[in-house]
Order: sequence, then C-alpha cells, then structure tokens
Amino acid sequence: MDRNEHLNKNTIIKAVIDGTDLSKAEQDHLAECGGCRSEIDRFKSELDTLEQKADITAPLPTRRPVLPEKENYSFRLFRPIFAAGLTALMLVAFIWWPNGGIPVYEETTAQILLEMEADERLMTDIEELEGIALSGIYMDESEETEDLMEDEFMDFLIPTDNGSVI
Amino acid sequence: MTPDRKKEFDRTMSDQNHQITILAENAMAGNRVSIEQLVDIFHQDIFRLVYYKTRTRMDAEDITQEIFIKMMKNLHRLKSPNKFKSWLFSIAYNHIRDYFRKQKMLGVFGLNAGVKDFNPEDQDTNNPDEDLLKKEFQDKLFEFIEDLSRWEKEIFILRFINHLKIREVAAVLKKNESTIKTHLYRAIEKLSRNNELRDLLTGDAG
Ligand SMILES: [Zn+2]
Repeated sequence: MDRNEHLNKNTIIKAVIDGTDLSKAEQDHLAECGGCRSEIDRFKSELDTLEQKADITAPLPTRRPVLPEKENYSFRLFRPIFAAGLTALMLVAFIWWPNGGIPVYEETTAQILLEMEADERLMTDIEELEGIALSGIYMDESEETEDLMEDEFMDFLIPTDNGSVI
Repeated sequence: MTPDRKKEFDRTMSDQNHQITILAENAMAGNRVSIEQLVDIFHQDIFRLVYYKTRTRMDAEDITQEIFIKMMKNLHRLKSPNKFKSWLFSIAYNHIRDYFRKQKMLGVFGLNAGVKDFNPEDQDTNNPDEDLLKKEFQDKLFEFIEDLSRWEKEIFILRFINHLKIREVAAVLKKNESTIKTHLYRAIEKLSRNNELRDLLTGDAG
C-alpha cells in the first residue's frame, strides 16, 4: 500500500491483534497518522472493556477445589507387575492342568478368554503408565495430527457443530 | 495504558510468571503447599473458562474441581514448569471436551436432558438493576460466542475471557500462532459487525 493511504478496516484489526504483523509501509503510515492510531486504540479499548466486563459479569465460584490427600502411587506402579504375575500364574496353571496340558475344549476356551482378559488389563495399565490416558495434553507437534484425527473422528461419531459444544 | 504503566504491568507479569514457575517446580516435587497455592492462583481463571463453556455454574464448579484433581495427579508428567499455565489450561480444555462428549453420548442414548440453559439466578447480587445489566451483557456475549465457528470460539474465549496471550493460546490448543491469529481475526471482525454487543462496550467501562 501507499504510506499516505489510511489503513482499511482489515488492517486495523490486524494491528489490533499484533502490530508487528503490519507491512513496512503500513507501519510507516501508522507512525505518522494520528487518525489511524486512534482508530486502533479505540478498537483495543473496546476489547479491553469486553475483557473487563466478561470478568465482572461472570459469577464467582462458591467453593474452592478440594484436593485429595496425596495419592498413593505404589499400587498403580505395581498393577502391571501384578497383571504380569497373574498371566504367568495362569500359564503355569494351564501347563499343570489335568490331562497333561491338553485340556478339553471348554477349558481351553475359558483359559484363552481369561488370558485375553489379563493381557488386556496389562496393556491398559501400560498405556496408562505411558501417559496415553492423558493423550492430547501438552505434547509436541508430532502428536497434533493424531489428536486432531481423533477429534475429527469423535466429531463424526458425535457431531459438535450445534454451537453448544466446544 | 501509558508506556510507564505498561512497563510496570509487564514487570509485574514477569514476576508473577517467575513465581508460578517456582511453585510448579515445587509442586512437581510433591510440595503440598505449592500445589495448594497454584490452586489459589488459577482457581477463578479455570472456573471462568469452564463457566463460559458450559454456561452453568453448578457444572462449572464440579468440572473445576475435577480439573484440579487431574492437575494434581498428572504433575509428574509436566515437562517444563515454566509452561505450567498453558499445561493447566490444556488439561482444562481437554477435560471440558470430554465432558461435552459424555453429555453428547448420554444424549444419543436419551440419558440426559441436554445442555442446560443459563440461569440468571446463578449470579444474583443485592442490586436488581446491576443484575439486569450483567445479565444483558452476558446474554449478548454468549449469543456472540455461540455464533462463532468452533475454533474462533475456543480462541476467543482463551484470549478474551481468560486473558491468555496468543503464544499461550497456541500452546494450549497445540496450533501455531499464525493459525491462532487467523481465527482471532475472524472473531474480531465478527465482533466489529455486532452493534448490539459493541453498544454495551462503548461509553462506560464498568
Ligand atoms: Zn491514517
């Protein structure tokens, strides 16, 4: 733009968000034009008022969060070990099963189901420990895509476009 | 803000950030007093975020409580204590998202009555005129926020309701700053065309 031209509305909004995003010519114009500067100031003060009013008019919480006594993590840490132990025990039991480890059909099915259940429990615990349970919380850029995909998938299952949802 | 006041404000802010970083470090080491102090510092901010998203005070109180418990349980996962604020808001943001998903899920099975309406009695003072003005502003603000697109809404709330810097909003939502600015631009542009809400902003600052 020409440095003698006043800033248009779009540029004013850009300046309100971050003045350093303006081009050199726009910044030069701003340095010399009180009219455009006061237009930006007026806009900024409206937004300041909005921030203040949003604070003042919102209710205050009536109670302060109460935190539990420090959680005993030892059980959590031992859970995977416990699950692994259980799986090993069941394996031993399986080998020592009557019929020399060649159980009848029903017993095999029950055993497999039990093992599957134990494995699943173990995986859940490992995942929890690795922090997958808290997915999407302050992880680096590489994990953004995954989080977004999950987000979009959830939106597909449960649409969130009615305005009432985040 | 005059340049002097701005300088003073910036200094206060950086002192406060430093204090929060130290508290976060101590909290990570299991210091209960520091954990409680962090709750004191951020309790109202988190409540306000939840309130503007859920629009009900009762739910906002419960969800705020849950967020701080989650914070406490996950302190050992915080990597950079100097990013505690963004990290806490990320927890809050994700927790609120899960809350809405659960609500939706229950809704699908017909197990909830949907999102509750705003209850003006939520915020009664002893001054009926003042209550009415507050309610009018809140109604117009909520109406405006509801009409924003999903990301415009998220970003507008974090920036103008929670007073986060663009850099902090980007960290909470795991987006880059220019994306944040683009959505912010659209939200402000919409605000510039909302005369009903703007009328309530000009003239007086209270
Ligand atoms: Zn000008």
